[in-house]
Amino acid sequence: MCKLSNIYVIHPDDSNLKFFKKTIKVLQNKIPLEYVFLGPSDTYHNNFYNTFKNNDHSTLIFFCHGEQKSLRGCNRESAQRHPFFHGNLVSPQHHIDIFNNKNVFCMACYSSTLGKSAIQAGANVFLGFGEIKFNQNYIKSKRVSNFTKWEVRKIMQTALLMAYLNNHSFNKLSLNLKNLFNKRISELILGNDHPDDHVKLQASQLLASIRNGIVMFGDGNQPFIPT
Amino acid sequence: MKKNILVIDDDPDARALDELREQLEYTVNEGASVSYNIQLKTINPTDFIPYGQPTEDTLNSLFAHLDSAALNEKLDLVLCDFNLHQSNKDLAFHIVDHVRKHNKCCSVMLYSGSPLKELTRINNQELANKISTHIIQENPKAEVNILKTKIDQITKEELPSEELLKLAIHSNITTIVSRNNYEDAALEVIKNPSLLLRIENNLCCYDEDEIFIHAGFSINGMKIGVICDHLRRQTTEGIRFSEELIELMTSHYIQLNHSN
Repeated sequence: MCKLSNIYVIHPDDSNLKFFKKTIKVLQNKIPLEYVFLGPSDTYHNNFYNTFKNNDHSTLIFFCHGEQKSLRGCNRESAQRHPFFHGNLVSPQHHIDIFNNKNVFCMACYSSTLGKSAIQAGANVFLGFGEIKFNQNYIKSKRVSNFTKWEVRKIMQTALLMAYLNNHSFNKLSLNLKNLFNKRISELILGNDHPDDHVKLQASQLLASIRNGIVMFGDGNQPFIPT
Repeated sequence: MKKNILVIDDDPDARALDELREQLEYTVNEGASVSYNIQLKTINPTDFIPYGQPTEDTLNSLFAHLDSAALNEKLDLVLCDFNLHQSNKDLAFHIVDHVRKHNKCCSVMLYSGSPLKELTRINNQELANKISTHIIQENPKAEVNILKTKIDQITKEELPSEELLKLAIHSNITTIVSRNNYEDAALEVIKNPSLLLRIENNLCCYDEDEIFIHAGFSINGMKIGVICDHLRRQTTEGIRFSEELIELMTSHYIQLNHSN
């Protein structure tokens, strides 16, 4: 694989995270980034570790699943396999060394719980998120879930594109994310761009909870484009 | 992003302050969505005011240094020793008063070995000064009974430290604590800034040359840095800005009763 830049996007094969594929495509059109796909085999997961364990200073963008203090990989269910059959992709006890000398943007559930360990493992900066309630246990309506995912996708791609085009620091990236969330929440509450008030209200509440979960670890002055 | 701490002490302990800086940095970064560096500056008033009563010139040189070193930018916390000068026991009040004239947002903390004792000492010292002035200058040959009457009159007329207490209240001191636990108090204070400081903190996340654009605001078109300055000094523009900010937010989200 020919190396394009020191910016990588890591994204697993997972029906619930498909919506980020569009974000990745948009980013790829503007940013010379490398796409690390986590498919349904051990080879992908091993390659992931091998790619980053001795990698140079780089920026890693995760669009993954996460649980308390762990990132998860591929989540394809099959007759023989359980969900997340590869176990942890990264946890304090497993492959945490991949964060050494990396700037990490980690869009995954509970990824903020991994922040301290990432910094201890040598990450320069780690921007994580809290609980992200896309799960059907929380959102009964598919419409709310889909609508919110669409909003999150737009916000992520806008903030990351701005960060790349202006070489923002992670602090600025975080600030822009919050602003984009806030602006969209206000528009949803005040505007008339969605006919269903119930969908708008729930989506704005979900967006607010994602915004509130943003946490920075390490040096937020690190640039988005690694030098 | 940075948070600025000013320490005013006649005997600063560099090692303890370095530890405090680390603790403060850890505290402000815990759970924050951006990362902060703590910048800690120390000013020793005895470098400017020699032993003896402070003249207007020496006080002014101290204030000029304060202005240039710390009061022309965002300030998050001022830590001021209570007992700053051997011969000027009330110097801390005047310094805090000066800080407040320039910055109404920052938190101000006074610390001392024993704050109440210090206040009593200032009280007694002023009382003693008034009595000795009376004896020496006004009535050196007075009988004891007459002197006693005069002392009673002085103590009834006015509490000697009343002016200082007024100054302290006007200076909106956040807290007065014992030197033994001022580090813990500082961590609490920096976690709980005033509403004005929260607004300033938010604005300071942006580049100071960025322009604030909102046609409905009186400060429309002003640079963020200039707005922060108005906010800190609570000028007419600064007060209007904070009022308009709250007003705008409220009117955006208030549930209006359209049926009336």
